[in-house]
Amino acid sequence: MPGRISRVTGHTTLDLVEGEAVGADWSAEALGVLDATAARREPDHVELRVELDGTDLAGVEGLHPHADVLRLTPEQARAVAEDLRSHADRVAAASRDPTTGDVNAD
Amino acid sequence: MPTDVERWKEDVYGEEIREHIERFAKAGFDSIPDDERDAWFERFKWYGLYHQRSGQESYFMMRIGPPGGVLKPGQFRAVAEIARDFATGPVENPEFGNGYLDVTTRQAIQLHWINLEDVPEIFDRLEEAGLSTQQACGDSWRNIVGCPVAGKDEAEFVDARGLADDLHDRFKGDDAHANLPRKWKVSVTGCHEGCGQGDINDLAFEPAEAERDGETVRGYNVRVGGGLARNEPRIAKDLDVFVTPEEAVDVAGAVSALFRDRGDREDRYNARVKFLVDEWGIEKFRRVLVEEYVDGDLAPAGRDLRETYSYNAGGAGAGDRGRAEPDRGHADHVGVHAQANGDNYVGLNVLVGRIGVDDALALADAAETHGSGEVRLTQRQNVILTDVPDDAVPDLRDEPVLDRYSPDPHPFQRGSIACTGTEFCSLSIVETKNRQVRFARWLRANVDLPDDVEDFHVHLSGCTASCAQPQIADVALRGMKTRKDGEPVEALDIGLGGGLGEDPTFARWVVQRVPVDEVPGAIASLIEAYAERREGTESFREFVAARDDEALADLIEPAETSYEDPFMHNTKRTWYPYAEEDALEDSPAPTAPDDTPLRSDD
Repeated sequence: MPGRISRVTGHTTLDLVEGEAVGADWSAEALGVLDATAARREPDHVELRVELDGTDLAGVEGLHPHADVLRLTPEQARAVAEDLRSHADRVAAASRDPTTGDVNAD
Repeated sequence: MPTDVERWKEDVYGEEIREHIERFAKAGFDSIPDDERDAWFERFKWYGLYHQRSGQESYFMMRIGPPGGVLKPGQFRAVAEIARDFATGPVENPEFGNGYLDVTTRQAIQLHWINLEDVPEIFDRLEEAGLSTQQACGDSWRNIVGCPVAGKDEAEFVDARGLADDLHDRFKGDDAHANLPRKWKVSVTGCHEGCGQGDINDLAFEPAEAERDGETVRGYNVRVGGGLARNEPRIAKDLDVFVTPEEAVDVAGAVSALFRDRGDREDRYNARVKFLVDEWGIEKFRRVLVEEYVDGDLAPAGRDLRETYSYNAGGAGAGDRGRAEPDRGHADHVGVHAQANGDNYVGLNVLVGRIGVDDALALADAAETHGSGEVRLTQRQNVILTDVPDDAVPDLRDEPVLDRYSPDPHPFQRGSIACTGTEFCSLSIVETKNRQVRFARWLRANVDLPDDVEDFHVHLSGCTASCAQPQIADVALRGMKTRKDGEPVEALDIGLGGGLGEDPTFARWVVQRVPVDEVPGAIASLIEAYAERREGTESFREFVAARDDEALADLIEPAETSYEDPFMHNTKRTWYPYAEEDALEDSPAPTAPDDTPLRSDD
């Protein structure tokens, strides 16, 4: 039953992301959803949620549709954001056309 | 610690919001301080005004909620004229023009592109016509839905209109019930078909009979805690309570008060009453209701009519459980049907619920010429003209406007429902209404349903909020995104086999992220398999129930066909999906009422 676990709306951070579920001796590529959010009332953590599509993982025995939810402190969330930004810069630079300086991205 | 919304509601909420709307309208949209806009837009909902999405700043959606979907003679015309005069935007919709009204799944009407400056005049005109937008949105009693032919249906069990009106009159504007933890959706059903769709409402009154003082009396059983939103659908649970029509209003007030006091005001995601029922269980809910909110005891549930429910039931209603038959109860209200007084009601199909203003005025003319002028709205986004004498039916059928709003539509048009989508809604991920129109046209031209299948429901919702009620459709479509030929494109998850009836079932989601241009092909392959493999007169819902998810997924073969989709790009990122220059930075909003930009970047 590959019904989605997570709500997916226009407010979701990424409604289309490419990923992979990895086990000790298996892996399965999947599309997924990623959302970063915090509670409206007196938020005490940042929630980072990832859900890979159930249909893409249907062939993995024992792996039922699910979402993984991380609860980050503000410090942890900032650390993740800083790392993401730093690596994003590196990836963008690596894909830059050396002759024009334009980014070769979608 | 309350949420922001709770704090805003504490400061200003309920009827006092109107004076602020009128104040801002007089001074112009720009007079709303930037840092107060979230709060004011949240409060405006109580008066039926939703600020439209990013890129459409200064424009509002306005919702008008007639209880039970009943628009008295003259009221539909009044709304159509308001749509003509005020519901126009800077760009026209290629399918529907500029100026239209949307019939919703809660028997309301929505208008778009409304400017705040025009709202006081619109309110005046609505009130002159006996209509209101009050509490059409927001955290309170929403439009009360119910049998749209209540009081007219020849096979009615109890007249649900009386109770719908009583609830509307009692609780709309009642300060004690004006500020609830979350929206409060109430349904009243009085028929054998179950067309009030009580199972997907917070509070439902359903026809039943019980013994009182040695006599059999008719009234309602009460159910609580249904709903489709938040990706956590629930069927309403039997509260084991029977009420007479006279007792129903007080019990409704008691249940509403319990929700007001005990619902979760700290987490809006957990605020709907279905989650309180989850937490407590229905037995505790009933116990607290009796102990703290009603005088005396409540009678146990009476004998219900659920085994005859056929509305939106996927061919699994009364009588032959195999397929829709004319004598087994209707799945919608489309077509010509007898009223108790010898006249007829004529249900007209409104594809995706949207009616252009010229057509709406023509329908108002037809209602007045051939019937009483009354127009009723259904939960399947259709309209009904009532009180049409036998000898007027042929002339009504000959009206040119009925070529587009037919009492005898093809099943694919009859069965299509769509939410607002990215055209105006900030929650949606994909374009919906124009797409569903194109889907229905293509399916009609290219796909053959078995001859005996008269009802085939395809509901398209732009996200998991489920405003198009996808979980109760034969084919449920829900907005997503995927990648095709390296490009991100709009896509749909596909679910199958949902429906109400005696034993409601939600659609099972069997495939995900089908590119939108391959969805008609996917549905075609599915219907071909159904036609070939069904047993006898097996309904589609039964066909689905007999198979596991994997087997169903194998029957769906997404494929490009002659269907073309002009909205595959990321319409969520546009300011308006149908604008020639559709990028957010090309938006003219915010604008004055004449659609000229209010500000420049100079």
